[in-house]
Parts: sequence; structure tokens; C-alpha cells
Amino acid sequence: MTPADDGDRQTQLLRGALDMCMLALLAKEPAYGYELVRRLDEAGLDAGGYGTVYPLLTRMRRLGLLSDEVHSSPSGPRRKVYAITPAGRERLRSWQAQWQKFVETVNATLTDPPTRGESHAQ
Amino acid sequence: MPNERPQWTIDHALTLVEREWRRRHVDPRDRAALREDLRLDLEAAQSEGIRPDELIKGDVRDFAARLADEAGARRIPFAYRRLLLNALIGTLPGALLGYWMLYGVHMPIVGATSRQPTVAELAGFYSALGALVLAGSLLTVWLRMRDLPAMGRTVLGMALAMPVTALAAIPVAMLFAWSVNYSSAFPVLVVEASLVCGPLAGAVVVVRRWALRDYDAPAPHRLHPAPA
Repeated sequence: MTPADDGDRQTQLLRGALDMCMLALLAKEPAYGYELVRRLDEAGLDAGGYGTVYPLLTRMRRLGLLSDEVHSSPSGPRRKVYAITPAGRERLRSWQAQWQKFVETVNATLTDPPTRGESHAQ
Repeated sequence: MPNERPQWTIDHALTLVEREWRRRHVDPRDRAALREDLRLDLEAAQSEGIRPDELIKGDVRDFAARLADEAGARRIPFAYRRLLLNALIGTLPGALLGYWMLYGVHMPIVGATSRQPTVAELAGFYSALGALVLAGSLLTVWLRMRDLPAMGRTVLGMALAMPVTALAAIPVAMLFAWSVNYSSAFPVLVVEASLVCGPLAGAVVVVRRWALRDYDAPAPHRLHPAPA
């Protein structure tokens, strides 16, 4: 598998979990759009950049999982900061549980002992 | 040659994004809200040294479309293409019937009696044909598009605007035909058809915009949730 294939696979895997990761990061600390992109990058999640993250932020706000508030800054422009709402925390808990179950299932599949046919082949 | 991207200012980036929202008929109020939010974010990023073109990588139209969709922005259902197509299709039965009346009924009668029709008779005949074509067009639009909002007002507006527009456009087309000695060359016919169809299509678009001027798109959710 080439590094490009690796990258594509990583992007595919992340696609289904990106909103959960964003919610988790915002649960730790509210952020504005670009700041969240940076934090995703720092966490090692190549989320596809601002063009992917910012529309997702607006979706989660529409769904009531996030709230937004304009903060003025003494040293820079005003910022619209996104924070997780109680409904967002509830959803995050549910997603985390689902994710744990999913990971356990995948791990169990990957670590299954070799089948009888494979043992004979060895 | 290196693949250089133009360096956008925030205003330029917002203009590009807004152009796509306009193209998609996003409600002006939602456009303004989305624009303001995006401006704040771009300004904040720029204060950290990140330019808009570095931030919005890739296809700006795709970004704008996704942003509007994900934010749940409302769209105004102008449906111009569908409206114009149905209006055009609706003229066909009337036009065919008119053609048959003109060459199958009117001309033979005029030929048999050898009496030249008066101007009033000609005006009445062509007005009746025009009314037939218009009625077919309006009926088709109504029957095929009545599920869209403000279609009653649209059809009513078309019923008023299209005859007036035709009355203005047809003399212009006739003047053009006279100026080219009533040539039947294909490019001439195309220009003549454009001189009539262009203003009619424009009138339909204007009428549709007028019909939807107070349209309040149903919003299953607010773009900005109300503060608790």
C-alpha cells in the first residue's frame, strides 16, 4: 500500500468520526473556526482543513449541539466562539459509547486466532 | 511553472462565496448571516497570519455550497429553468393549432374569396392566435408547477406581462425583418426569434421574482438558534 493510499484510507476512516472528534475537542475548550482546525491538526487528525470543518461546525450549531457567541478581543478582531451545549454533551456521550463498541468489535475481529485452515497451512 | 493560487482579500473571498449562494438562490437573510459569521472567522484567522485562500483550500464554490447546506440555509424556489421550459412547452399546442388555422383555414378562405382581410380582421385573428398560445403556456405552467409557492401570482403576472411584452417585442422584430428585406436566412430568423423570445423570457423571470418578493421560506430550524 502506498503512502497516498494510506492517506486516503485515513481520511475515509476519519470521515465518520470527525464530528465526534470536533465535539470532543470543543467539550474540552470552546474555539473559533480556524482555532478548531488547528487543534484537530495538533491532535494528528487530518480533517481536510477549514473547508471541511467549518461547514460541519455550522451543521452542529443548527442541530443545537453547539452554541456560538461573539467574543471581543483586546488584541485582535472579534471572534465567534463555538461551545458545546448540554444536548451536545449528551450526544457526545452517546457517540463515544457507540465508538467504543465499534472499536471493540473491530479489534476483536482483527485479533481473532487463525482459523483451522490457516493453522494447517502453516 | 509553479501552481500559484491568487491571494484573496477577505472581501474577495466573501464575494466568491456569496456569488455561489446567489446562484443557488439562498435566502438573502440567511446569506447575510452566513456572510457575517464567515467574515468574523476569516478576520480572526487573518489576525494569526492565515490568508483566506490558505484557509479555504480547493473549490470555493463547493465550500460555499456545503456551508449553505450544512447551515440549513433556506433557498428561494425561483425554479427559473423549469418555469421557462414549461412556458415554452405550453406554447407548442397553441402554436401548432395556430399554424393549422392560419394555413389550413384562413389562407384557403382568403384565397377562395379573393377578398383582402381588413386590418381589424387581421389584428383580431392574430390576437386570437396569440391568446391561444399564451393560454396553453399559462395552463401548462399552472398544471405542472402548482406545487411550488406563489405560482398563482406567477401565472397571473405572466398573463398580464407577456401580452404587453409581446406587443413591445414583436414590432421590434418586424422592424428588424423589414431592415433585412424580410430575409429568411437562418441567422436572420434566429435574431428575430431572439428579439421576441428574449424579452418574453425576461418578463417571466421578472414576474417570478415579483411573485416571490415577500416569500418567507419555511425554516425547519433557525440558522441561528434563539438564545436560551
